[in-house]
Amino acid sequence: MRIRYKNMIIFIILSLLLFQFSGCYDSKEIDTKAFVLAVGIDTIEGKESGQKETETIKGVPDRFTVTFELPLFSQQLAAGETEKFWMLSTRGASIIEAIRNSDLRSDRVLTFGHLKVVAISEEMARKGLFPILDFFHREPVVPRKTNIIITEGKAGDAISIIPYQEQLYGIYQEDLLESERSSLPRTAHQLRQTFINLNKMLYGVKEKRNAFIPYVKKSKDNKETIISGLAIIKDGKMVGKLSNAESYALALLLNLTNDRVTIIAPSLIFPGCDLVFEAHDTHSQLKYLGDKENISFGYHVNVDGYFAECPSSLIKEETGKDIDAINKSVEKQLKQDIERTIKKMQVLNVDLLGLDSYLFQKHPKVWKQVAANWDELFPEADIDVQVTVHTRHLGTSK
Amino acid sequence: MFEFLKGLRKPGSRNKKVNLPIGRPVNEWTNNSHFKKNLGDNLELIRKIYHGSSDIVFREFSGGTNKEFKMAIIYVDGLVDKTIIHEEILKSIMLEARAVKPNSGISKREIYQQILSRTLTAADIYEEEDFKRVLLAIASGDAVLLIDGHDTAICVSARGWENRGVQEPVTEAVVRGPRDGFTETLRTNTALLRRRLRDPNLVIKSHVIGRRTQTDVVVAYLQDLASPQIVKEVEKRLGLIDVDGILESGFIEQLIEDDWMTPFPQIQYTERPDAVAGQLLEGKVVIMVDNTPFVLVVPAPFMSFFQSPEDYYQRWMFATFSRWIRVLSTLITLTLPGLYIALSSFHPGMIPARLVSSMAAAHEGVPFPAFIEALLMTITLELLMEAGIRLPGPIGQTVSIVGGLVIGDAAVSANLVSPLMVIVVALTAISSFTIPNYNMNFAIRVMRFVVIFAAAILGLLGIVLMMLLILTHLVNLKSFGVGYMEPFAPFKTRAPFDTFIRAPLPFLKTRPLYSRPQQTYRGIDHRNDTEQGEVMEKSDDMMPKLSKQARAYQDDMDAKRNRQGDMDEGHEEE
Amino acid sequence: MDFKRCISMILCMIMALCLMGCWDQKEIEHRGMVFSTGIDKLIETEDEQKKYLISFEMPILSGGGETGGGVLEKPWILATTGNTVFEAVRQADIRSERPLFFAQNKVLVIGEEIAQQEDIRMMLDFFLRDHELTRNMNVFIVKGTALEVLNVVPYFSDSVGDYLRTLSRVKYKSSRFRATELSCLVEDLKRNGSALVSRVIPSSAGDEVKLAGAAVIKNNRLVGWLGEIENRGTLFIQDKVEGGSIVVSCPICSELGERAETITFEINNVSSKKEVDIRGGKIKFGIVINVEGTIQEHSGWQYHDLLEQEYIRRMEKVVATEITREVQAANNKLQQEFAVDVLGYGSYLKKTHPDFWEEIEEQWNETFFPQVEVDIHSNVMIRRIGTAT
Repeated sequence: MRIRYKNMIIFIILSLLLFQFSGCYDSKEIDTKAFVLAVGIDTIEGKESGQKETETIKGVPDRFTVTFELPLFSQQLAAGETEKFWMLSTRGASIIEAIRNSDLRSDRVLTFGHLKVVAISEEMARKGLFPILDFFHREPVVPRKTNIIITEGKAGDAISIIPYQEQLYGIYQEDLLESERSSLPRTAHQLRQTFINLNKMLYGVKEKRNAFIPYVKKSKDNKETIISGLAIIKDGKMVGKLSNAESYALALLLNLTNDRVTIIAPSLIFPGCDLVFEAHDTHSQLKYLGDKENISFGYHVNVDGYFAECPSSLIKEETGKDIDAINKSVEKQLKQDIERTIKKMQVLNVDLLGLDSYLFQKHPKVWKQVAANWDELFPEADIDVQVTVHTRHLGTSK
Repeated sequence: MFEFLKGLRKPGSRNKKVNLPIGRPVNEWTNNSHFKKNLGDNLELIRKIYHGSSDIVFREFSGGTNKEFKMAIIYVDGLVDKTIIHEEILKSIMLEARAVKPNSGISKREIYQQILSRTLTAADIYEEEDFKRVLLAIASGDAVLLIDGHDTAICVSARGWENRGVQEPVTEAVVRGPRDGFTETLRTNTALLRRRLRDPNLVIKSHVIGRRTQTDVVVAYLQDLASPQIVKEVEKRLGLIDVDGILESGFIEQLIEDDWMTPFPQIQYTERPDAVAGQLLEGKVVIMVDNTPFVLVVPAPFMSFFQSPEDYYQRWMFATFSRWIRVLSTLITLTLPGLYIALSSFHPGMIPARLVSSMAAAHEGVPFPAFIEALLMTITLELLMEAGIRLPGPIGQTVSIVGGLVIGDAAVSANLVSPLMVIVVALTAISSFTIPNYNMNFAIRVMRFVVIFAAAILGLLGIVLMMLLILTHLVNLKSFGVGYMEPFAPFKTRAPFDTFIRAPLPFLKTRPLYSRPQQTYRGIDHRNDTEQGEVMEKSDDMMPKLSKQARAYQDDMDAKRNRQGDMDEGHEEE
Repeated sequence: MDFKRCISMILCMIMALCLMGCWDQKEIEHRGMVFSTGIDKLIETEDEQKKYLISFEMPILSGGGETGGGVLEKPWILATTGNTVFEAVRQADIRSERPLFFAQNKVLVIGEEIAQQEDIRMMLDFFLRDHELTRNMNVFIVKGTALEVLNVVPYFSDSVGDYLRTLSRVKYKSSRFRATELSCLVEDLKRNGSALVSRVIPSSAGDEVKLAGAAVIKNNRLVGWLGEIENRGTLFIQDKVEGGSIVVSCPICSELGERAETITFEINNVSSKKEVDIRGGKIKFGIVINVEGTIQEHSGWQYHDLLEQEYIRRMEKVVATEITREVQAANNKLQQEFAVDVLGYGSYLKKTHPDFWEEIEEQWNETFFPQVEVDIHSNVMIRRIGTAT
């Protein structure tokens, strides 16, 4: 009897403790929430435009212009040219403050559980990403697979486009970035990948602050966005750009390629004509070739794929059948791309390849010697690239 | 009121009154009464006992050449077959009496033996000295013959009353399977059972329960299969029942179940003789009650409520598929409204963006929170169901059409509930009907409300906690000493083969172990015959060793089979 | 006896007919539902007698019951003129075939100009006297005209009145504005003719409204505005803060030269206490504010580990300083600039020192209140730092 009594008390206490969790008092009906699909972050323009957010006596000046894309679900099913979303633009000294400012204008609570895109303007990115990313890192409801992009021009404008097929920009952009034909590294667009790249705690090497984020341009008619390579982030600031071909070269080296990426290479046997090759299986291997004095790495890249188009084959039949020549042409092109990419990184002194952590993990003795002055050594490092291409089939053309 | 229940819940706690005889006296004043030699006195006594009820017929007549033997027949009008009384009793005695020669000198003492052994042509006759039992015999439809000068009554079984014929069971419809169902007459029911099981091991033991109703209750089982402990337990609990009336097997069910503080039934009931025969073959014990077509089966663990007799008539793939559908629909019934509430009011981040968009669009403009909406719709649904059951057939249909279609549609277009909620509730309703057993159906439907409340208070966490609580409760339950969640808890390796999937019949060689059958193998156990058998035994560690009895039975069967073989051969030679 | 009973019964039933009965009933669709009312100053000078331009927001209910959204019609903004509010209501009754029904009127918006020039009590009388009206109606004062606000069609709602009401109910946690109910406002006005009223700002594009800050009412007239941050400062003194965020610059980062890096502190729980000291003829108020909260954002995350105990203490101090500054600024504005006691210093004094209060009551507003010394002290506790370090 005493034991039962005791159990009862424990049970009651436990069930009271349950209410420390979020319960019915925290619940919000779905139609009192405003789901943010995309966030665009810009710098504050020098000239004041529009109303002042806070007639301020506060100590910290505004720093960001934040634009939220809020879908209007009630208009979702409505036919005709109705507005499907509300672009709510506010300013604040921090992201949170901008959200709080928006609270005064929207009667629904901004919810980030379905955030699809974080767009940051190039100008902002060049000033630094850390202040922006902190909110998305700290807020528990932001999904880690949210996409992050850097936009040419104002981010607020880029996320305000009205795509042709999709009604909402956030969903459109996500589908675009996740395309299996994208030449960017597979996970480059995910917030999670950016956090991993930037996080100082992850590797024991040193504070790693280099990352790559998709770089997106808006079309002039405000109907499309175009992915055009990667932005290079060094120490949390954007320092340069990689073109699409260079991004693919980076993806090849990082083993992060998508399944079906098109490579265009000038034909070696029919000058002036381009071959089109689709890579569907790639693998690269990194080896340390140097000794304690000379830093030297070797990459071996294997690309399998098939032959998609050879415009010259109807003029000169053997150009479409000479597999060796095709392989050579593609190899040459890829090698050029990769070497150009590596050069670019070395010039900018941004080690996106993770060579430092490779040394730390695989060659700790070498690492011990070079760790101190790695920043000087990396731009000088000798990186050798070998590319092997295999054509698996030539299509149905004779 | 709950005194006897307490006794039932802990058998053995009431040490003194355990061994009460079944069929206890009706009233106090019958305790001291007994037959006298004088017919007139006896008749007077019985008349007094029945307070001059009009349906008791006293037919006094005289036999013998000089009408010197006074006799009387007592029966209840309407309960007896009058042709039997007429043809087999009155005619026989009177014609026989006339056939006796005038001076054959039969004394009054001899006439009794004469009538008992020679005169009465009825099939079922017994003598009864006990006054109480004679009263019971009259009430059960026997005709009682009293002869002047004898203090013993002759009871002639002349039962015959109006009853419903064997019809198709209404509550358990099958597409394929026999169309006969139990009726209100106990004897018809036992006959239906005996027709399916010609095994002499089928024991049908009779009890009388209920101080006033004196209802016949029958316990049936296969002597060499059913677990003796369970049979003993059933008889013990039946013996403990002390009420004045048993009107339906539901009384028995509630009085002997293990735990009455739970929504989950621990005793299965069925209207189908084929289902009962199947259960008996699994080694279960069956309780049949007079005046009701519903037969109780014990032990009944959780999974047995999700089986339909049809599962075994269909081919295994389709039977398995329909079992999955049932399990799925149970889960839907239990959790779907709760999940909807939790996802829409607590965790919209967990569902895909497009779904959220359509959910929010559907909920736009609805004035109630999802919880109130769900409660409103589920209660409406229960109202409709209750109304549909209580009303006569055609009106019931109208109610469901008006309720389901008109109210639902109107509520959506008036923006009182979101269309998604209507889909959720309708899906829940349809799912709840796929559970074959109405008892279990009810339990799940009630638990659904609990889950809705849990979801409204704590969201998904609440649902998970509530499901855990329900599972813990289920595992704790027992049905006649058998764990309610057997064979899953404790887990048996063969558990899934007759629960989530219905294995093909050639592989369903063993009986379910939860009913603790004395013989586990349905057919002949080959395990000791060949090497292959030994391998099997090793691989199948959960098989208990055969009891002596089972071994004897198996030898017996072997012998029989050999004999059969001999005969066949002989036949061929001819 | 029975006869007598019968007569009295019949009499009672006849008397019951004097009450409201079926002849008074009006179907719901025959009522002109008013969701919100706006009061402005009439600018046209041709009819000099009329003071007010009063506009009613009446939803057009014909499209009701439509599922799946669709373009809903803009509500009808019916604007009339009148010398009193009730006169305008009668004017409106003439123009609407459905008599105006005020039981659903939950929002009252008062224009800036009329609030400055007229006694606010004159406008409120109708809303207190009419039995159809509820006293929990929200009152807003517009920076601009009330008609501008009523003409806004917000994104998330069809009716701006409904939108304003939800906004003030749902977002009270931001502490950037105050939700003013009619009954409270009247109580405040009765006390000393001063009050703080929620302020609403229509956007220039006419598609949004913003609820921010407060209007300061002195002697029953609008005298000025409090900004949103100042409004939070006053809420701190009144112990009505439920949430909100405070941005301060990161102490460590500014040492490292990164002056722009900020810390955003989210308020979870606030309790504030007043004390008064009248010794030596000087009235001195002490206010202690205890704040608990979360670090929501730390933009200089790369520079420092947030888990360090000492650093957390340091951040607490910085935030506390900021809160004190904020409250002090708001208090000064009310005390010196407007010289209006809306934060209840007077009534606190009356409760704690009734005798002293009787002496100074007459001169409190003019002489004593601007001289009162207010000492503000705040303590901050950081409870959580989110999912990042």
